[in-house]
Amino acid sequence: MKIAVACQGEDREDPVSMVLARCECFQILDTEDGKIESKLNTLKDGEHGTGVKVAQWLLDEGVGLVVSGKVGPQAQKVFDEAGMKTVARQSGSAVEILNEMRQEFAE
Amino acid sequence: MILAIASGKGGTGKTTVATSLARVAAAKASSEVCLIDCDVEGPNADIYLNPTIKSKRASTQLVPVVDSEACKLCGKCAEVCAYGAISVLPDRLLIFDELCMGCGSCVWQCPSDALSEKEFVLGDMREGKAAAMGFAQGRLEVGRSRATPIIRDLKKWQLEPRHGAWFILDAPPGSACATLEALRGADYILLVAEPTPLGLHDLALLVEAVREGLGTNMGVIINRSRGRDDALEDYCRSEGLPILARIAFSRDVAAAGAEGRTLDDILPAIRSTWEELLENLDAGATP
Repeated sequence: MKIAVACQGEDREDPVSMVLARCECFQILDTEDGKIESKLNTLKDGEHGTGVKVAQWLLDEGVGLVVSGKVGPQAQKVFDEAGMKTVARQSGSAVEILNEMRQEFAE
Repeated sequence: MILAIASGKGGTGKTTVATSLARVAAAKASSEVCLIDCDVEGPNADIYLNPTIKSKRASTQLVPVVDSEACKLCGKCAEVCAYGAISVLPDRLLIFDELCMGCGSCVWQCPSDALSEKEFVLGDMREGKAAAMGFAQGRLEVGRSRATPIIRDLKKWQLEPRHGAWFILDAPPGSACATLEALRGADYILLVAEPTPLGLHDLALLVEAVREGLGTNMGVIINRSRGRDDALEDYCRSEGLPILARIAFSRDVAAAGAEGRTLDDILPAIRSTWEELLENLDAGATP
């Protein structure tokens, strides 16, 4: 499974973003190989339906668990309907959160 | 004649001006007078005018519906949707009616003919009579966010069949799409402004939007005037906007307004001001 953390910057040490759809970057961990990939959120400056578009992108990336400060109602609906999990975190760096999620997921 | 009453900032007195102006016009005019409440997110002119509503109709737009048998989940529809209104899940499409702008691109582009369109209710429109005056309003349904198409529908319904009547449009506050939709096609725009920093700031935004988007002639009515409203007057002078009337800041006017009385009833002196303004507008004499 892939775990994505909405992040305020490109570095995995950067803090978690308070918003999902308009976050700077996603830090995505693949639990199969333990690798973390940093992917810029190219949709963040969109005018319409950004929540749905970002949720669709995460779904297409194969992400199963999404962490951010908050998730908007439209994106949440996509996640719920697609069977993706969401976790709210308002503090911590992306890498800390990913390690924590990986352990929880392993258990 | 289509006369629109607008303000950048909410709560400056659009409805106070519109309802009293319409009553004065209806008492005098030889032609039909109709007040149209275009503030569909919060229509309230009916509170002052107590109209009898005679008919009602829905305001709708088209949204896509999917035939899940025919859909191959290719994702073309989501790709062409500029509004993020369609999400392609592993096993089905998820359509967000509320995000759809009704452009129909998804239906047109679907290679499997799996999408068709259905009507989605945005709100309703009502028409009736308030004494001798025609009255109409639009109402956005609770939970919906798209006011602009209802205003377009409402104007189409009311304005087209009654060519030659005097229309007084009570516009929504602000300077965004819904406001400009209400103001589009007006012969003249009365801007109600209050002499406060926020009132002036929002007035300037609206003036800029009208000039850039519509080019309609405008004049200002100062509400809650303190007699000398320097910053606001300086602005109007520098922008070449005529100040057409002032309504004095008064606790009594506010209290009577809160009881649902119209301004021409509270301040009979305003009637001659409105009559003169209407005559000038009718003669095309207002700058």
